[in-house]
Amino acid sequence: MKIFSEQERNLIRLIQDSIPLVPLPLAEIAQKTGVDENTVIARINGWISGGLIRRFGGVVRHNKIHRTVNVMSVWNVPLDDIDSVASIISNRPEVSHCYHRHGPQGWNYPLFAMIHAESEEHCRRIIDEIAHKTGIRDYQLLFTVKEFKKTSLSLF
Amino acid sequence: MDSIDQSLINEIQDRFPIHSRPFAEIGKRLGIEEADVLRRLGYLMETGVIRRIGAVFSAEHAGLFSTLVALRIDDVDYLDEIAQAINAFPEVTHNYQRNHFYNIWFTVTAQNEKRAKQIIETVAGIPGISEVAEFPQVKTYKIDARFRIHES
Repeated sequence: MKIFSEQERNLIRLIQDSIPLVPLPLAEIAQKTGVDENTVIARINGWISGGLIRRFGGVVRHNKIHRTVNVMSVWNVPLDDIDSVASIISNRPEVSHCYHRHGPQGWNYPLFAMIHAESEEHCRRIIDEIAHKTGIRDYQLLFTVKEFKKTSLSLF
Repeated sequence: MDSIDQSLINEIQDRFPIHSRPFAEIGKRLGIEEADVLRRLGYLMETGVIRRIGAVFSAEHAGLFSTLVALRIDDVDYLDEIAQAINAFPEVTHNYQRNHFYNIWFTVTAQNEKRAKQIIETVAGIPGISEVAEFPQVKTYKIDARFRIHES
């Protein structure tokens, strides 16, 4: 874990939650952390350009906007081709996460992609297009049966 | 949800301004008043469409250790109870039942690898779990959980 000053930790605690819906939200946050508004803005911008903050803005619940079908797709891709296949898959807007993962012995599907679609049929169409474009025919679709937990990452 | 709400949802995901008055700025782009932006966002948060407005942190850049874990639970009667026990760890950020040989999949994001292993070992000790598999990431290609609405 990276080391942060107490002041930085206080700021992170506030912005990893939701900023207040008021005309001057960053001034309110600044007041709570005992620094001025410009310092808060500079810190957030610094963390964005450094990569600590991947994105700043709204986090939307996809099942509330008709992206109700979620599938974790796993693909049997030869390791030599994994970068090029991953780049084709990652280019699709319906794919939110794409990783190369190391599995247990006997697991033949190193490429993981989370796909969000409007229906199961829509989902299968996306998968067919990916299979066609990449030439990868061996894959598994792990549909979500039940969501037990889904939270944003908290640093502290 | 009208077409202004739809634009607003896309705008706050894609181009949220790090400004002193961000909601006034967004209002200017959409041609509505700051007060209207705040009222609409308040409603979208109350109804759960928007989970929050804030920073999305990178576990990797923060120096945290994260991994994906899968479980095989043969007796599905135990599944909910086991899932609740897993949820109790704040380090577990996502936890799903999936239609697969491994029927529970969850992510652990911990201060370090040692703590993550500790959590996985504790989970593995819960009665009713017949297999535990770990899927640590080798490479991250994409993380982008923005969901755009087709504006009508």
